[in-house]
This record gives sequence, C-alpha cells and structure tokens, in this order.
Amino acid sequence: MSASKNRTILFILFTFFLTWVYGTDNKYKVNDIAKDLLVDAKAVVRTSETVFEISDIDKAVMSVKYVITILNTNGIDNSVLIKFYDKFLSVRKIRSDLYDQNGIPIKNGINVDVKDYSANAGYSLYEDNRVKLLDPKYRTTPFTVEFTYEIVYNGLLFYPDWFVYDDYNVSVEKSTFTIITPNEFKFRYMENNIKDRVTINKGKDKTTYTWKAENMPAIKNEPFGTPFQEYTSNVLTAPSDFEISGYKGNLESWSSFGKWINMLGKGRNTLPTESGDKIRKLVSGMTDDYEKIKVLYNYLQNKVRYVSIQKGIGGWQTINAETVDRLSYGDCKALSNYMKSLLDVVGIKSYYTLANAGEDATPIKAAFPSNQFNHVIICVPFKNDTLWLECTSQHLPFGYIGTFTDDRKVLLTSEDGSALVNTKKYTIDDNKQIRSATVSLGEDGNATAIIKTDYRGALYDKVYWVLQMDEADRRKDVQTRITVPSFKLINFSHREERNIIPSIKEELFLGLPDYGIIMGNRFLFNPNLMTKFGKLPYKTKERKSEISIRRSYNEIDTITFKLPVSYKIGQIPEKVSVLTKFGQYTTEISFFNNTIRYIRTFKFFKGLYPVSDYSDFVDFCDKVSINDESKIALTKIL
Amino acid sequence: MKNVILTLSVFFLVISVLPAQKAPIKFGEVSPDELKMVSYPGDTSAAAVILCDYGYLNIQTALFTRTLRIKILKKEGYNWANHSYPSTETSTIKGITTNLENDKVVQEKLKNESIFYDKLSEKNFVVRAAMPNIKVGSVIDLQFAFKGIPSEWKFQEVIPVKYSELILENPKDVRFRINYFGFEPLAVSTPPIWIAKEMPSFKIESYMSSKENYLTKFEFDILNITYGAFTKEFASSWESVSRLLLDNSNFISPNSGSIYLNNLAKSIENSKTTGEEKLKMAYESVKSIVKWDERKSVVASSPNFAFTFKMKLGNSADVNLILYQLLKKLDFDVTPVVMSTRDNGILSPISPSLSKLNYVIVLAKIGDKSILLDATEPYMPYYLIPLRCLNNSGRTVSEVKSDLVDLSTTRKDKEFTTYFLKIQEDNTLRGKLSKRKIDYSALDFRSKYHKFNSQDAYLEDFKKDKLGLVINESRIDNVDSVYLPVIEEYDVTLNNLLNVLGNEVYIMPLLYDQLKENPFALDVRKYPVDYGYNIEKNTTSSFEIPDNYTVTELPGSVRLRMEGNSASLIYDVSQLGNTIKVTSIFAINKTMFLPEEYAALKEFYNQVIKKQSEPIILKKK
Repeated sequence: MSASKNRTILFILFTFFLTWVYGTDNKYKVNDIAKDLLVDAKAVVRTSETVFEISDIDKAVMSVKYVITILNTNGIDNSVLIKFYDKFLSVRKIRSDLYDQNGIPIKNGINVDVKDYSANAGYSLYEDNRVKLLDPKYRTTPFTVEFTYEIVYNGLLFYPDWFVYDDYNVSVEKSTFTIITPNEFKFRYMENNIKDRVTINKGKDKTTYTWKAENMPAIKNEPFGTPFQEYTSNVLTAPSDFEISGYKGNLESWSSFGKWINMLGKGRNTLPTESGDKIRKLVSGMTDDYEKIKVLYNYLQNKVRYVSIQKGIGGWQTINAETVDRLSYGDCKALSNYMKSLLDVVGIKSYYTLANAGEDATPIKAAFPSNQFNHVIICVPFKNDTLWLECTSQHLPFGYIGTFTDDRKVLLTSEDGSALVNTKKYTIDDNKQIRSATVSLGEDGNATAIIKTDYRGALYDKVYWVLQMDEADRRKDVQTRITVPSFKLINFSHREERNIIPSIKEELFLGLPDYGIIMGNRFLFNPNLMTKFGKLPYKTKERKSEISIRRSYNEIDTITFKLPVSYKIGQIPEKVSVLTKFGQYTTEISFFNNTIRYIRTFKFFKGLYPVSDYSDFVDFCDKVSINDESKIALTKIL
Repeated sequence: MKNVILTLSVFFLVISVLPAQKAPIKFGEVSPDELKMVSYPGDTSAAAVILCDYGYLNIQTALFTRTLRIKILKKEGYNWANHSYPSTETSTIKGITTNLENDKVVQEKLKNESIFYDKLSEKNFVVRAAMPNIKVGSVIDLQFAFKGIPSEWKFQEVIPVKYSELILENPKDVRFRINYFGFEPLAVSTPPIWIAKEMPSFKIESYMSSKENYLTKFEFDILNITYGAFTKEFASSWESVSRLLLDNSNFISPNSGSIYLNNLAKSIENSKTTGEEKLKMAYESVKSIVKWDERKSVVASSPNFAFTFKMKLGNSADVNLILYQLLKKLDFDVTPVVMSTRDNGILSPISPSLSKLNYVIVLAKIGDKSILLDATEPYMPYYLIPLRCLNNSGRTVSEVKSDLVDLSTTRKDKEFTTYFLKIQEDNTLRGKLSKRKIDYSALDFRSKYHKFNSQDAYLEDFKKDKLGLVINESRIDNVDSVYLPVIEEYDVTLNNLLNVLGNEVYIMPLLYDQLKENPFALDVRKYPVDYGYNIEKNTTSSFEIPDNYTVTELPGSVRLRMEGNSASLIYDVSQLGNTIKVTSIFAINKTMFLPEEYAALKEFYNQVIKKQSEPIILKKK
C-alpha cells in the first residue's frame, strides 16, 4: 500500500520535473500578452469562464475558471479570490495554481489555504454572510494565478451577472459566460453595451446561451465619471419563476416581485393589543392624517433604534412588528414594517417600499425587473403630494428622506398594486447654501468676521451630523470645515429648522489674523471668504465615461467688508458671469462709502452630459476656481 | 503576542486567599439618582456616560469579571447599547436595561435572541449584544466574564467615565506587571486596587502617532509563572525578554534555510566588496528575494525560512531576520533590535514588555558607525528606516545585556523645487519646473509613483490639484535608483495664474508650493505633535519680466525662527535686472512638539502662510 503510494508520488514528481524542464505546458507566459492589453494595466485577465447551469427554479451550479496575470504590485489585491456565501449558496472545489512569469508552476493545490471569515458589512451587528478567501500569497510580479471553483445554489433569488471588466486598470484577454437550462426553462437577461450578442444552442434536453468578449484593453477611473459598470459590456440575468427558503415567486414584472415581497411580510404587522391602544390614544381627537403620521413618526423615532441583524431569509423578510415593539430595535425592514403597522392601527394606508439607497447609488434598471434593492422606506400617498418616511433614523425631520433615497425609482409593494415610482426630488431651490457675512478689516490687516450660513436640503445632509456631536467634537468639526488660511474661532452656534426641507443655520464669529496683506501702500484681500470651488477635474486623454453631476445645488454668498479708515478702494475685479449647461457662476462687487459688497452665486445642474462636453466642463470648473482666487486692492489715503 | 499571553493565563490554577472586595456597583441594582439623571455634570454635552466600569480578577477561579454601567443621555449615545467583545468558549455575557417609566422602575433582561456569537475566523470569536428597550434615560448594566488576565484595561473612553475601578491581585505563582499609559491621573493607585474618577472623554487630534499612546489605560505583562519548583521567566527584565525570544524557534533558529543563505552569502563574498558596500549588497539582495506581506511581527512565520524563500514572501520578522542571518554569515557585527511600531504605541522606558513588541529590525556596526536596517520597503535605501519604526526606542536582543537603541533619524523629508519662468505677452508663464527629492521625500515619492500604472497616470494625478498647469514635456529620473535623489523635470505653461487687476498684475511667488492652510486648526492641544522626521522644503522661483512691465511691489525678505530653531523659514526676495528671484526654505528641525509648544508652532505656520501669500506686483508700462 505504502509502496504503491510512494510510486505515485515519485511518478507525479517525475512528470512535474519533466514539465518543468521542457516547459511544454507554459500556457500563461507573460510575454504572450498583446501589447495593447498592457497599457494602463496592473493585471490582465487571461481567461474567465463562467458556466451557470440551472436545474430547477431553486437549484443551480456555477463553475468558474479564472486566470489572472498580475503585472505589478498594484494588482496584488486582484490575485486574491474572495467568494461570499450564505445559507442559500455554498462554495466548493476551490483550487488555485500559481505560475511564474514564464508560466512555470510554483505551487498548486485543491482547497489549501482557503480561509473562512465572517462577512459582516460593518453597519450590521450580526449577519450570517460569510466569505471564503484564498490568497496565493505571492508578491513577486509578474505572476499568474489560476482559480477554479464551484458555487452551488440552494434557493435562487439572484442569477449571476456577467461584467467583462471587474476592475479599473485590468485588461481582459478572454471572457465567456454560459447559461445552461433545461429546454423550455424561462429566465431573463439584458445585454448592455454588448458587441457580440448571445449565441443560443438548443440540444436534446438542454439549451445553452453563450456570450464572449476578447482583447479588451484596461479602463481607467475618470473624474466626474459614472461607475464603469454603466458604460462597459455586461449581461444582467434574473429568474422568471424562482424559489427561496420555500417561498415561490416570479420576477418577470415589478408587480409580481412586489407581490412576493408583500407576501413575505404577511402576518407580521400585528401589534400587541396594549400597544395598539396606546397608539390610538396618541392620535385620538386628531382629524388630519398628515398630523397623525407626524405624531406616529415622532413616536417611532423616540421608541426604536436601528440595529442591523441579517440571518437567512431574514435578509429579505422583516421580523414581527410585535418583536420590534418589545425590543425597541430593528433593521430597515423591521422598522419600516413597524411604522407601517402603527399606521395600520390608525387606519392610514401606507406602502412598504424597496429602494437602492446611498448618496451615489447606481440607478435602478427599470426595464429589467430584478432584486436591485438594499433598503426599505415607507411611502404614504396623499392627494397632492406623497410623503416618504425614512424609518432607520432617530434624527431626520419628519418627511425628509435626504440624499440617501431622494430622486430615484423605488418599488412600492402591495398585494396587487406594486409598481416602480419616483421618490421626492429636491430641486436647485431646495438644495441651497445661503451665506452672508460682515467682515471688519483692521488697519493692520487683521479682521473679524460674523458669518451666517443656512444649509438647506442636500447641503443640510452634509452638516447635520454636527447637531449630534458633543460640544468639544462640534467645535473641532466647525474648525475643520473653515477654509480661511488662518483664523481663530471665537464663537459659534447652530440652529436647526426641522421643516420638510430642513435647514441648519450656523453662525460663526471669527478672528482673521492677517486677512489683509499690506504691501507698500496697498492692502490686498480675497473677497471670497469661505466658499471656494474645490473640485478640479483634470484633463484626460481619451475619456470613456459620461460626465455625471449627481445633484443640483445652489450657493449664494453676500459678503460685506468694512474698510479700514485710512484706505480707499484701489483695484476691483470686474464683474464675472459664466453661464453653461453644467452650471452658472457669477460674481459682482459693489461699493459705497467705506464698504464693499461681494456677491457670488454658483449653480450646479444635475445631469449626465456626453463625453464630448468634457473639455467645456473642465473649462467651466477652471474659470470658477481661478475667479474664486481674485483679489481686491485697497490703497492708502495719503 | 497578546494571544500567547492570554493562553498562558490558563495556568492560573492557584489557591491564594483574597479578602472579599466590595464591588462599587451591584449588577442590576440601579439607584434612583442614576435613573433620573438627565445630563452628566462633568460634561453636559456628553451623549452617554460610563457611570461605573469595574474589573475584578478572582484568583481562585482565574475568572476576570467586568461589570459596566452606562447611562444613555441622548439618542446619539444609542450605539453604547450595542456591544461586541472578543470572546472564548468560556466567556459569558449578561445584561439588563433599566428604565424609569411613569416613575416606575422597569427592567428588561438581555435575552438570547439579542446575543450573537460571531465566528470571525478559525480562532477568533466575538460575542455581540443589542440591549433591549433602549431610550434616552436608560441605564445599561452589562457583565462580561472570561478566564484569564485581560490584555489591557482602559480607564478612558471616547465618552466620559465617571468611575473606573480595577482590582487585580498578584497571585503567588504568577507575577505580572502593569504598564501605565496616558495623560490623566488616577485617583487611587494602591495595588491591587486602582481607581479613576471623572475621566474626560478622549478626543483624537491630528499628527498623533497612535491613539493607544495617549489613552489613559493599563497594559499587562506576565513576568513569570511558577509551577512546582520550576519558574518560567517572562518579562522581569529586557534580558529575560531576550531569553524568551532566543528560546523561540521562530526568532533565531540556527539552521534557518542555510543552503539558500549560504549560497547567497557566497555570491556576495565573491563580489569582493567590503564594509558598507557589502552591507548594501546584502540588504538589496534580501529586498529583491523576499517581499513583505505587510504583516508586522517580532517573530518569523515558521522556524525555517524554506517556505519564505519559495514563496518569496514573509512578515516583517521573516524579512529582517533573513537579513540578520545573512549579515551574520558575512561576518558583520549585527544584533536584532526589537521594538513597537508607531501604531502600536511606545515601549515603556522603564518596564520591559514582551507583549508590546511587534517588530524587529537589525542593528549593524561597521567601525564606530551604527546603522539600523529594515528590508521591508522595496523603495528604501539601507540607511533609512520607515516612519512606522521611528518610535522612540527599541532594545537589542541579548541575554547578557540588552541595550536601549534610539529609533530616531537624522535623515529628513527633504525637497528642492525650482521654477524658472518667463512672463508671456498673453499673461501665461512659460518655462521649467523641477523637483529634487531626497531621503524620506524620495521614499514617499517612489511609493506613490508605483501606485500608478504608467507615467501618464502619475502626471494626471500630479496635475490634479495644480490649477492651470500644462506639462509640455516631462522627465522623471532615478525612480528605481533608490540611492540617488528623484529628479522631476517639466517644461511647463502655467495658465491663468496671473491675477490681473486693472493695469496691474499679481503673481503668487511660490505658485503651487505655497502653504495655504494651517494644518493646526485647533486652539489648544492636549497631546504632542509628532512629525517622525525633520522636514526641509526648499523652493526657488525665478521670473523673467518682459520689457513692457515694471516692478511695483516685492515681498520683503524675512527670517522666522521658533525658539531653539525648532522650526524656521528663510525667505529671500531679490531683483537682478529683469529677473525676480524668490527663495523659501521651510524647515521643521525637531520631530516632537509638546502641547505647551503648540501655540508657538501654530503661530509659526500662520506667519509662514502670511509671508508666502504676499504677491509680486507688476505694472504695465
């Protein structure tokens, strides 16, 4: 037994030696890579083969072979295989083979060095998501690593998507994507930016769908761009009929998916009698629904806190309203469901609504119903307007959803009326920063300033955290947001207006040492005290991505300078007005007696602008930045 | 190393009699005052306060119990109702929330539905708990118990701590030492009892080497454990720490990868170099053979280096101990120096500690010259050690006499920038921009440069924050020659940098190298400013003025100097014919500024900003 085993080992060693000596099998030589695939590349995907074979509405196996050559140390992260799994899918048969730059094997093995970790997303207290990670632990570039593995699906709410690129600065030699189904099995796909469309082969029992891409040069991250997934080749896929954790559903339309979500929440919205009575008492005597909702939202914000716990189907299904009532915490599903339950008790109709949340979230692909969501909010329709409620925040003013879920398509769910609708869009008049300041310039160049700023809408979102800080942290935060070269923060205050478009009114009292520069008989200063356009897009050679401005906003500054008595106005910059489709910028300076008034307005317009506009866009940004640095010169009265 | 100590603490099966200690709080028994409290008098803006944090080590059972009482004062303090602790199989947690509802005390226990055991990886568990029924005013009691000595005890947190007490009796058979860190005094410090009262919340400041260096806390070190007649020494002296390391086969093992090392040594011997040249050759060969995997360690990953050589990859100790072995084979006078990196906190100057060590470098002596070597950074010359190692002092490893080794450097972050520009008719500036980077400045440049996948990508980034810069031609030399300065040379056009006001033109003399914002925004500072190494930024701008312009105003020359020349600015402006030349030499001449020097340092920066913001003013004839 042991003798024969030894012989096998010897034989393996011998063949290994042969390959090594003759190098017959050097399939991943770095020299073989085409020149244009090396441009801007940290790594090259040599081969990516994905075969997804579906056997039933809840069963499938995906086999993957992925070979990547790492060209330099920036690509090291791309040599690590990271595969997430949970209750509904498992990863198996992981194998990695490592080759040096000549394609000579260094190390190979099945399942060796595979690490298993908890994959908590960070915002969660607990998740049952886990990750298998295989780091070949090699850093001497260039080298190549080949991975093979299988993923077994047990429950299918998602099908795998195919993206030709998986990262910036990674080119692709060859990538294929194959879906195999039983004949007549229905599923759906959407081809985006695809040159070679699908090839379909129908066999005796099975149908094969294949996509492929070859020789794709590396792409680069671009300023003011959209994510590469938006403009590079990809195929999205999704089930028609599906089943997960025993729950069957259909994803062919938004209405059927909404219906399924609605079904998951059935029977989970009853409150204990005692709590129900308490809720009814809270709004008794009130007639206006809007006011009732306000009271209940306030009750929610005081009663619960957000704690994310994701387990099994609990990633999609809410826990009982009763449990939230008892523990006073829950995740977005639980808290939204709880809010809806409160509204149910007092007879107000509301909708459990799925959203893809985030200030810069990718828009929903409306033409392709599938689970593209990561968050839940509540929608209460009114005749003239719709009320949206973010239920995970203890702080947001009633009816304000902020940049987290504003202006995007969301899925309203119900038994039979589920549909995609738009959330509240905050306009350029809502997203405003209005600043007025009075600056007293001293003879010696020192100055003091009283600065009042009103941050509204999306700009409120950027500063509203200050209200939650303690005194010391708030002071620090204010100091780090002040962009004057030298200053002393003498005093500050904040006042919040919790309207449907909320605002924070900030008042600063600053000492500004050497704000004016005295040279000879001149006194120079920058009239733009604090509102500078910081974002400088740089020119790129060949741009691929559209220009994306996520939100419209508006800044208005009115700064009044009181001049030192022994100086008079010398030189003043001319009036500036730059009007483009991306934005508008104006500055104007006026004076009378011993005061100067500087008015600056800046507008940015939400939109996706074509690549060909990029140099105009850069020009606009440059003009704003340059003009923001203009100076005023006073001269000494002799 | 912390894991080692936690495991060792299992040996606590010792009988020793301790007088019963009266606990400052009893779990679940909350006073009416605590329930009615609406703000914490010591810091009225605090969102939550730790009313009591009580740690008790029971010698008989070897059980460490922590009892924690937290008052929630605002919604912003709700995250103090979620807790995560590193855990073992034997650890337990219990909790209770106490609320005052309509003058009635209502309590809700932490149940299993709110407790989660999370297996982070093979050996690491965390227990997580979400306390039930939390509202503003809630008082949370938590009790957490496990076998062993904790690795540290924090008296200070990011919220105020009203009362913190630690009782830790030295049992007969285990001796451990407590290392004190921080800036806040303790109220009681009579072993085995330590009490801190009214601790302010801890706030992070910029230019801090590590939060761990400033937080008021204890760290524990086991000195020795006696079982039977046998005593195992741990950290009673640096020599005993050295002995422990030398006994560890993963520190210095005699046969470590010897064939490979011998071959390598032979090839270096064959080169016939001597002294520092030979040292450099050995250092460079180790760098090219073994890459660092970015893990810090004081011990190697395995007792022999064969696997490290095969994979060409190792932790910091693998890399530097290979260097040590090689230099020894080459008959250099070398010693390993063990240390703690900046993010891990400073080694205590008085208390030896094994658990605090997380890194090892090599001290080589050539004649009277001592050189510290670290081969982990691919773009570093042998005479530099990385910023993470510039952390006060380390220790030589020796059973006979372990010496203190100063871990500071005389090398600087040094940079020369030269602009040589001509003002054009169309108000653009044209000419040359060059930069010369030396030592830490060159190291930073090289590390950054290699993050880009092409020179074009680097140049795009270089232009990113430089308004109006057009690069017509560029040359970057010595990127890979780490023993030469990095030289960048650009042929440039600067658009829109002249500020035209009427018939006058303003130029900011230092262009893209002007200091525009004070890095120190805060009024006062509690903790030192730590730069790591000295800084010297040398900028020269020359402007050739066209004939149709005259010079109206020039900034004045000046010399600024902080007390003891710890920071300085030499600023020179001169005109020769139609050329104006401005030179600025900005220098930080010491690495550590104490809180009492902060105001002067901040003011120095203000003065530099002021001086550098004075324009050259020209007038059209």
